[in-house]
Amino acid sequence: MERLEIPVRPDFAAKLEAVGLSFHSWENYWKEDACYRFSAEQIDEIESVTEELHRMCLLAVEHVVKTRDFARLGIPEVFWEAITSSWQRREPSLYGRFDLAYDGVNPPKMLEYNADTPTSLLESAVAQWYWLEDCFPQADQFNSLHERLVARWRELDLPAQPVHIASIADNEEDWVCTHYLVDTALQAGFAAEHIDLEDIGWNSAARAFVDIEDKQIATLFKLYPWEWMMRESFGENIPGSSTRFIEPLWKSLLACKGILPILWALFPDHPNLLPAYFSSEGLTSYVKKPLFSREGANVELYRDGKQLHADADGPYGAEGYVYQGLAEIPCFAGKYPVIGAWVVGDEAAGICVREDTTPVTTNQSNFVPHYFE
Amino acid sequence: MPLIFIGTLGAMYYFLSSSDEDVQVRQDSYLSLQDCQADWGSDDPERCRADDSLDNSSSHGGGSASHSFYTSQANNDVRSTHYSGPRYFWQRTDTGGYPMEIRPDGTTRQITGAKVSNGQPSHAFGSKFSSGSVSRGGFGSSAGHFSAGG
Repeated sequence: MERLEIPVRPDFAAKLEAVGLSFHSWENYWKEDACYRFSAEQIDEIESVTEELHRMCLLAVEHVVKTRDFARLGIPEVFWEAITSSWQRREPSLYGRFDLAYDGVNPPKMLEYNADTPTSLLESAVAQWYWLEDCFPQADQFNSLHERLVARWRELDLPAQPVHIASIADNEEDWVCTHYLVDTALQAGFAAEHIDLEDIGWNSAARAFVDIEDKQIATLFKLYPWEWMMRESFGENIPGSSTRFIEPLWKSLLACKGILPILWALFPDHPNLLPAYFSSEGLTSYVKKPLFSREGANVELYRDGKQLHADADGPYGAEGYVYQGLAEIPCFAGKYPVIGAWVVGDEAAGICVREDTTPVTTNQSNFVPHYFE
Repeated sequence: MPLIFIGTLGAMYYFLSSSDEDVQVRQDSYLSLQDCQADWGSDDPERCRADDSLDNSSSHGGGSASHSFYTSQANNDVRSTHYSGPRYFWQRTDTGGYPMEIRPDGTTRQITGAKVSNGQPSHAFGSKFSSGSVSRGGFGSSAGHFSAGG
């Protein structure tokens, strides 16, 4: 694994916009004056670790459901039975993304699992693929995301009605991600349309979620966290509704950082896990993470008891925290890369690399393409 | 890998979704328990219930819920004892669909073993419909200015 400085494509902006990546220059998000090169052996390791971690996460879900350990994960009691039912029926998942610390030498370490609402999808699946074809056509890329997403939609056994794919209004990044998912669903042969999350309706007589034309929503992909949906006014309508949700309700357990200490308890000293607990007792170098947070918000880093990083601007932390042993994120030319390892269904489907000037990956981290040979 | 033409997606969907799939809740009335079970089966005794609420009423009387109305398929032959089937809506699929029961606690479940087809009971003397009221804005308040993704 190494970071290379390379020339940018003179028409890179037009090429990114042609595939729909409209926000590529916000905070210099897309960064192609550098790239990461991996060996085939390193990619093989990331692939096998990703699938191993996913299997372990499913066992952790089974453990939480069996022991009804929902409260520690901040799950409101009204959803416990619905989550149990969702898991027992093995409602299928579409996709997720692990964040891994990896230096190319030591085993990858799981930082967290974005199992519910992962973004960076279009740039991972499409934009970096075209970059590869332009810049390193002789090389390969760990990226079968697009083909696997299209195939996965077909495996979901969805009803015949259109798939509704929702994101919040007026958020460009989420709009782009969900419109890419609409495209993959269409290519899979489904009718699919985007809907602003705020436009979703509730038909009180039918006890059904409906779209802007009052038609029943049979299948809803929501780029909106379960922990938020559960606590909003329509949340009480979710259990027992006829709408099928993607991601399924059981994935709310994996989206919670509380799954990290549960994994560590189930698989102590696993080479791809970091020690994690519900208290900081015994830890001197650790990361304090809210049970529910995204894009690095409200995360604090401590080394030898001294605070190295704190972000108090975010809205997270009310439900509690977990404490995870500090991972050694490698530093390449002053940049700290984190590997985003994609899972589609139950299989590894590719990676993306995001790097930052601090060891915490945030919504302002740069997306840097990769290849291997 | 195919190029993405996002701008065409809306038009494609509009074409594909032109059928009338508005959610409509329905409850059918029967002159006898046998008629009700002929449509809904006898597996679940709760599915067909004696109902006196329509005694001495017109077969075209209005329902109590907003937007609801009542229709008759067979004269004004309302007797003092009759039966009501489940409250349900028709879940459409590419093979026709199936009825979804709305239980008293508000949860829904697929009705299996029913003999109604294409949403039409064959033994009912009347049906009560309700399109219900739709509220919006119940999702989305937590996001603030933050992305909902990660």
